[in-house]
Amino acid sequence: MSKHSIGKSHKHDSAPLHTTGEARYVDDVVLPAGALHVAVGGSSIAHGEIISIDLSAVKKASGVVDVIIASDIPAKHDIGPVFEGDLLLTDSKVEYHSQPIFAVVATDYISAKKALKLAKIEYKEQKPLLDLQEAIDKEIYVRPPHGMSCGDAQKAIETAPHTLTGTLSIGGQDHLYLEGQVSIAIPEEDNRITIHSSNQNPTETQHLVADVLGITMADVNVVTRRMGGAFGGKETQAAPWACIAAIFATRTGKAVKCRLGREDDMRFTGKRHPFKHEYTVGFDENGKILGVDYLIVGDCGHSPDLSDAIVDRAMFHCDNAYFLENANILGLRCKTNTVSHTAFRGFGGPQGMMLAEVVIEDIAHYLGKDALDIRKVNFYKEGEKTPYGQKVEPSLILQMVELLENSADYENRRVGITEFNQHSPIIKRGISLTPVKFGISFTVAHLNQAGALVHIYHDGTIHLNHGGTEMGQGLMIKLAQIVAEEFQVDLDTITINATRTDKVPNTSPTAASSGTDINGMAVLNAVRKLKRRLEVFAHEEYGVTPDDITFANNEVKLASKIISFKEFIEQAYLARTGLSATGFYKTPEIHYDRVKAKGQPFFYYANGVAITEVAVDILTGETKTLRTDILHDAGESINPAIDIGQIEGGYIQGLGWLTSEELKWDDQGRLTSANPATYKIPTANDIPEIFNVELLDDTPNVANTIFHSKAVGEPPLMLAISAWCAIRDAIRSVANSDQQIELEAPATPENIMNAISRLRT
Amino acid sequence: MGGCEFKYATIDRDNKKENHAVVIQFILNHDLIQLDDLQADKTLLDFLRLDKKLTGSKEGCASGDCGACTVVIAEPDESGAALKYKSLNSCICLLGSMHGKQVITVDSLRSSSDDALHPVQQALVDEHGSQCGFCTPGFVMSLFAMQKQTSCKSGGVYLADIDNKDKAHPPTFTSSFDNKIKVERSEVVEGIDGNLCRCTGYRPIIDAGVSVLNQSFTDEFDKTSQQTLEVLNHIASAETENFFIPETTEELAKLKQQFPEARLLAGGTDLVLDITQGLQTLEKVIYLGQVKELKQISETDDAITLGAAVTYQECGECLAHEYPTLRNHLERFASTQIRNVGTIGGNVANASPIGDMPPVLVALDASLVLQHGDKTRTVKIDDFYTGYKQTVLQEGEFLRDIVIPKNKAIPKNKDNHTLSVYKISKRHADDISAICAAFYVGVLDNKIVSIRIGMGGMAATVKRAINCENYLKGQLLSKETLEKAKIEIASDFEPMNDVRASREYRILMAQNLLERLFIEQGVAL
Repeated sequence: MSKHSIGKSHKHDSAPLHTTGEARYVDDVVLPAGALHVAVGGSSIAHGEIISIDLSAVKKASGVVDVIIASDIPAKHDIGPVFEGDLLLTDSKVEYHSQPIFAVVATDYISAKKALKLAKIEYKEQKPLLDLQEAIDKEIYVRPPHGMSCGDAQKAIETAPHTLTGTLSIGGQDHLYLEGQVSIAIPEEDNRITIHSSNQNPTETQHLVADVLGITMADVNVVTRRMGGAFGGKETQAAPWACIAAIFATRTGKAVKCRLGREDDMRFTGKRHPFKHEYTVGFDENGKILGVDYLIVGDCGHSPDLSDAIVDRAMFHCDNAYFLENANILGLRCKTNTVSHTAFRGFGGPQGMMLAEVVIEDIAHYLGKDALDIRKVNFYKEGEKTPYGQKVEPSLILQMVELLENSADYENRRVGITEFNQHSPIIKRGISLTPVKFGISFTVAHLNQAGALVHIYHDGTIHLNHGGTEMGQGLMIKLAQIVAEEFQVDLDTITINATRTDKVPNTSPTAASSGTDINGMAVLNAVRKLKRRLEVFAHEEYGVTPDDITFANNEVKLASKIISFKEFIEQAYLARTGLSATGFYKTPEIHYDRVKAKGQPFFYYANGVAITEVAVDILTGETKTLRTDILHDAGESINPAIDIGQIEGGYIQGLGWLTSEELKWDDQGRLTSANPATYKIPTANDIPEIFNVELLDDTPNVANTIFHSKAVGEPPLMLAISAWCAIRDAIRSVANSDQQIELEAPATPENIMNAISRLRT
Repeated sequence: MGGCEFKYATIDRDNKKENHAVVIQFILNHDLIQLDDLQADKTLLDFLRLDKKLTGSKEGCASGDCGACTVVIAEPDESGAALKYKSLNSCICLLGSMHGKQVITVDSLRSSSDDALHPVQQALVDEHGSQCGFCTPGFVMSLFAMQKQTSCKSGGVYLADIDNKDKAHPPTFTSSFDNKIKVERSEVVEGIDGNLCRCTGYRPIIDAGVSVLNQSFTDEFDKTSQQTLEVLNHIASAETENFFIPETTEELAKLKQQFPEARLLAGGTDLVLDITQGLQTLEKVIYLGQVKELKQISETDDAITLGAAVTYQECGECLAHEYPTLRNHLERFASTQIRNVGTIGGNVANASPIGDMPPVLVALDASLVLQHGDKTRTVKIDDFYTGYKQTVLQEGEFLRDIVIPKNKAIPKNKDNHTLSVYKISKRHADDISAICAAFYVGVLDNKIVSIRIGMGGMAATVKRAINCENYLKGQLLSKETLEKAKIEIASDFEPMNDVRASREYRILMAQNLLERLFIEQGVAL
């Protein structure tokens, strides 16, 4: 049967609403009369003890209705998602600058914000720990170290013809979703509460609001229609504002909105983890890696949050697409006095992959070879195992590299660039091809489950609900396409609505690129249940067997009789067929023994390859991305246009992380890059003028995923590592052959000049 | 188009002046808005979202950095016979400054007759230009502004005539390809340089822009533009007690003397941050945007004089004509939305050490005309700044004109004068300088005969590199001279470490930009 809906580039379901401004975000929800607005007061120091809190002037300020501190929290104070350590409000220890201490609710937002300034808080200040190296040296961790190994790395390195050691510092990244954190809490009868929240994880927020208020999960309903971007930043970081709004709603009986202004958002919420890596690698004259010893250090900020799994994922990806026969990998989760770093697209994977690519680049530089040659020597061959014991099969990378090398004319351009650089004293060009092999599944096993709820109304329209949330990635349209495909009806038959915890319970966060994979399968499960029931009805009504029933083109063929889908449903309803079904899915096959650090944590790998060419001005360190070519593996794509959107957007977001986006804290632990005037994400001007993006053809996922598609949310971000490596390549043209390049990420003009200066001294 | 009715068409204009209660009037989409009471420091975005419940325009930053709140303003052009359109950030625009203008928001772009998407909106849908959608209204309005500017240039406003031929079956949007207009990708990129998108990577948005801006069509705003003009031309002067809109420097001088505590509002691109970020209350505001003298650009044989309220956008062409190297620099000033409202006077009087124009003015030895009451005085820009965000302006005094000497590179002079301006920032577009350097150099027979160097980001004020200038005067353009000049320029400054750059990088850049100057002067290194 030809595909009715799958594989087609349907527009995002909300596109017309986006362009007209009619798409409703939480801040656009019409509030009940008398609604109140929150502002949150944070610490003015980064580390110390609170001696006293005097909010008397705050309470008297114009417009202020209520004020809370930690002791006003009805029940649970700690809202750490996995481990304890994240206080909703603190009243004793201060662990980072801007840590929330109190909150104000007023008749309007500006009054609440102005009142904050009247608080008098006395502290006993301690020196904040802000230097990651100091935390490493003093062994200050938020979670214990964890190691992973295979073969005999020490011996392999000792006996290798060549060895290199090096370090790499990688900066963090602010999510800078265009819509900041926001929740509205509306009190309901009988002490229940409804929360509208811009949130990737409604179930967790439901759980935490219940815990904080001392009520049950059944008393809390969390609603998320859409987010104005999230990228991991609304997985755990959306909950506090919902909790604070809920407390005020309970206390005042009014609807309460807690929306963070941009600077508050940037100071209060966690970011991508900065990392620091140390490596020793042994290799032969061809550049084949024989053994590695890796120290992978995540700067977790003040609390664990999701850092255990994030540093794990960095460790899982420090091989990237390269076979490491002998490897010692140690991951540290260091504590510093900053906001607690959190999930961000790639979840540690990008930082781990950066190490893999720097090792390759350094080997290439040392041997005087093109880095692509070194890459090819080291790519996984079919069936080779990762350091954690998962077989890489199929291994698509080499095939994809060769396709892209040809289509992007890598070899000729490489020659041209070398020639250009010989005659260009100031502007140097660089080119790099980097691969991405990204493991798909939550590495916390129980999260790999999903639920769905599908109603067919008796007029033949379908209402689709599931546990996933829409943050712009096109999850809703992809899932609607799945329903449309199964029933062979047009998309306008299907209504997509807000994700609600009272419709589908116990959902996992929409994260780890899993949205379509797991929710799509749950939707399919629900739809197939409905089909079975409809088959029973058709058998009873028309005497046909399931083989005689065909859904096609908004119609149902029952042996020789054809009726419209609408009419068929109407008949099924009159014959008392249950037309609502839940669906459930759990990812099969995955298992992982963390103690041994062995197993199959991933259901499959998503792959991609990128070639980026850049120009670097070696007088100033300014760069320009000239051309990017990408070939990406989305399996059998459910919606190519949506997938290409994820790839382009992910690449540019990664480009920002590795070039212009620089988080800076001053020596008092205060974030100085706390607004978009000082923290610079890419603009339209920063994208390569030549930007070719293709999906890998005719390569369905061998794993049994939804229509054999592959997850595409996170992996493309890491394609931007090619841009960073291209900048290193350009810098390489000013180096002597044996000098190692030390380029910190992001490659800001200043960091580039630092790398160049080190080469010249 | 039958379904297109405008409420303001029914306003009885003759009675308007007698209605003293009305203080501020403007058109919001298709409605005439009359405000009897105005909070001086209310932003346009808060008015739209909170008061009018028009939630299409989004708040992404409340600081003019993201463009999610972009709206388009139409106002009579210099001739008064046509409308001119520009985009701006409504989050850092004060409501009072909308007096006498039309504000167009994303909420009004759909066809009123059949709800069809505006071609700009449709192009974004067709190209998959939205993902999370939060930034999308801002992009729509930036592209809408470009479309209006493009169609004005090409006479597209009058394409309405085409429509009139088919009145029986009026199409929602008249569309035709006009080969004469060719909007390039680079122009689209510049037009959306003030809009951040975190999802798409911009490619589909640029494609949508190229697609729609190379079509010609008329929309409801074109069809009603004459009617809009008529209404706007009949709006009388505002009468308010806290938001003053003087129309002459004389009125301005009086107001400034009468209310020395009132804040002067030009483009507002910095001032309004005191409200949205600094949470200040501004009781009284004097808006400069309608003061005729301050909007003037005049030229003599020797100098260009810019009124203090001339925007970057308005003076760009004139300055780039005189100093072609300024064109690139001017394009990198902030973003389109900011350039559309931000003024040269604001950039100067604000006294920030990281403004992009003052280094240029220092290099060109510009003068400033200050006015107090009916008295004026002229000061050199070198003498204007007294400290971080401090100037010689007295209480009640205001900056009136910026006088920029014309290029000395006239044929009769043998020495060759060139202006070179370099700006370094983390991001190319819409970023604040880590360092900005302007060199105005006269060279005769390979010898530097005159040089002025203005640098931003190197001290508490924009500052000249005096030691370096003194050394360079009379020196040959050579590698040796450069090496010594690099030492001198390092002695001129003691810059600070901050979020944009370290002290060391700033010094290195001062030296390397000097090197760039030498390379551009033809010195082989």
